[in-house]
Amino acid sequence: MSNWTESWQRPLSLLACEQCENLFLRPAETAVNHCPHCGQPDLVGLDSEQDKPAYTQPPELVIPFQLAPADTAPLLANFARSFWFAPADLTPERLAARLQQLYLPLWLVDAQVQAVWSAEAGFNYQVVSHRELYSSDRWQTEEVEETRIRWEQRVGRLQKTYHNQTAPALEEEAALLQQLGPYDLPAARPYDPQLLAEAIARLPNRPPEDAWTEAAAGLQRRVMADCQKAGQADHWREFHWTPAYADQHWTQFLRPVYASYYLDDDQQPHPLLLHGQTGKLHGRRRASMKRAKQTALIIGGIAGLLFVLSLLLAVGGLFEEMLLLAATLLLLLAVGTAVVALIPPLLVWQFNRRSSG
Amino acid sequence: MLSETPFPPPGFVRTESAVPGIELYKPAPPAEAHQTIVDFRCPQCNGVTAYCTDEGALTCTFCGYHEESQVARVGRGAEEFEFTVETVRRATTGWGEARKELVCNSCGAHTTLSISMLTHTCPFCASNQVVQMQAPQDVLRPRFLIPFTVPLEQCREKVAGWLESSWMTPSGLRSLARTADFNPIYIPAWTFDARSRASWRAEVGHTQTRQVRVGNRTETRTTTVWRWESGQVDQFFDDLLLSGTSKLSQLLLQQVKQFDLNGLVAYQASFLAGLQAQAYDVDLETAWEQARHQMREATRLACRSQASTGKIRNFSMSLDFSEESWRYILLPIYLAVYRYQTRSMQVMVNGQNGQIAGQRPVAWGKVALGSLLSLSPGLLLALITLILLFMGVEAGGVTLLLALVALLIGLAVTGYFVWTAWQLDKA
Repeated sequence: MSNWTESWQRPLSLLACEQCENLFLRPAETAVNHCPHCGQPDLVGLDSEQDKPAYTQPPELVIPFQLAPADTAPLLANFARSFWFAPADLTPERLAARLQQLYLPLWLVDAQVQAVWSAEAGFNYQVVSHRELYSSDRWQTEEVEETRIRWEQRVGRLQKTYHNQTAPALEEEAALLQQLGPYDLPAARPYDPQLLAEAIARLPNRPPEDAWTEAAAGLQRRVMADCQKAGQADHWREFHWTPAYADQHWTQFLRPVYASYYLDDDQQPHPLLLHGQTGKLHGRRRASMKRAKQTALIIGGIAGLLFVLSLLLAVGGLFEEMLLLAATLLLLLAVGTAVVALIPPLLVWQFNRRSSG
Repeated sequence: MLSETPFPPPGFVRTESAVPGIELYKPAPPAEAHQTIVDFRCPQCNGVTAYCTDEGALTCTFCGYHEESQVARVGRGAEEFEFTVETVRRATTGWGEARKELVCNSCGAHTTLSISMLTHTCPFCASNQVVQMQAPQDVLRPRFLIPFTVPLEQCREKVAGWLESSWMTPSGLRSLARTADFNPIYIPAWTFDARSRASWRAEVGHTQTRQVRVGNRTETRTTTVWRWESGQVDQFFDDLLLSGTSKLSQLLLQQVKQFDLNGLVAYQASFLAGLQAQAYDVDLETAWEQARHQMREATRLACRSQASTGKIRNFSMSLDFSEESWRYILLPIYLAVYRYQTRSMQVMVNGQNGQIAGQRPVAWGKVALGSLLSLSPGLLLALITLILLFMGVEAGGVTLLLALVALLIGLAVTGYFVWTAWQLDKA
């Protein structure tokens, strides 16, 4: 075990995908053949010291899997539910067999914040107003209470250490958030190496310096909320501050996903991800053009057969007039069948286009 | 790098923070040290100083010391307050105590003072004191006033002129005005702002005429066709003024309350030194109810005026008040009482513009003489007619007609004289 993997408190191997170049940590007892990110079978083992990754901060918090592997079955079945010309590899059983527990990282930063700030604090107060109704030469008065906001200037000074501010550790974090939805972060608990027994962990590919922008924005939101709380205000606006940060400390926050994949006609893997808390699934379903073409070929063959038969009947029609009529009907049927043969490739093309969009 | 501007900024004071590690500062409240009794003494001779309405300044009655009051004119922009639940609740509790024991700062004499009085002159040493009682809420103490701008002498002259302005009053009233005791007094008043938004609906009658044949005749018949109409009115009432005292004649107050609120200045105790001033005894809620009553009636009339004709029935409306605010102010009034024969007559003068309202005695003898004079042409003509008729002159018919006309005119003029005199007497 190298120095930096010791902080993970269990023996872990460093893996790299040659296709997508993402790095993973795998427990010694877990076998991983395909990249959980892109599904390609191009994972190679690296020496954790010689090929030491750029960002090796240890994990501090983990959200455990709340969705048991057994609970994923209906979700996978729903994803692979029968649709026309589905790839032969896209079955719930195969998806389940390839299911891999994966932890995705977020940055966690602790920082001491010093700042002077100013804001407008809003305080609710009640005023008495009146509503009057006039009917049948009589007035009726109704007293109504309304809530209004009194705004007052506040300034302040802050010296406080903020812990565990999250920031994206993956370049594709925004896309992941859109695809899988947010995590219930308060469900996190301190890192426990046992949680990695059957799971692999992806390592960050975004440097803390880049992630600091988002971390600072998050810290500002927390400072703003704290200042509002300090002023016991009901509303808060026009917050301005001049911050200074010190003692930054970066760790990782691991979030659970299930990863799986299926193979298309060309044996290319298509990955899918399943949110480890909510069960929200993201993956692209692609129909098999190969199967569509095979079907089209069969229908086209039938059309050709009907055409040949109609030609033979047409020849017979030179002798018997009734056969000419049958030949015409068969010719029309052949043309119709040939048109139907175009439908499967068109359906698949449209389906794939829609799922790509 | 933290900001290099000084912290906290000037004018901010530290306040309680609910979060450790965060210091919190808020704007310092205006430094208004409450001083219950403000005693006005001359810095030169330690004599009594009082606000002089002629000079518009504090003056010493002994050595002539003169101190201009710092006038902070705020006009209609004077701060207004909302009807917060807290204010309304506290305003209805009044000033909380009926009378106040006052110890004179000069001679130590104990005096019991009515809660409605804001000023006091010690009966033993004549020192002038302004009583700034702790109001039930800060906003419920006088914050603005209109200072006296009509000097006492001018007021006296105006009243003298006013007393003699009618021929129906007895001669010699002018001299009574010179001897009458004019008391400058600040009276309490409320001003109210509000926006009224109303929607109305009513059946409006439209007159239609049509020709109808009845037998061989054609008659014109008029019918009223009723149609539903509706509309909206949005009105803003700015500084509606209502009296805050029930101790003065509301009839007279009504006649002199054309105050120009652009003359409002920030309250200072020195404006009240040596003058009388009353605290409100018509509370905020009562005054606001009266103001709302006036506003809603004005809005109702505005709604009715939108109807396409004046024939209206089944009129209904709903009205929402918003942007309501109020002010508590003091207004300058001169009060005078003079005696005519055995009767006491009151006169009230607006201390800002000199508007006068009051009672004047009626010289009924003058009224009778005037009436007789107005009837005399008619009577004279009647007498001439009688003589002509007895003499058998034919022109008697014409003079009779002229006599009747002159008598009618004389009666109308007499009626006007009596009505005017009665009005004067009633005031």
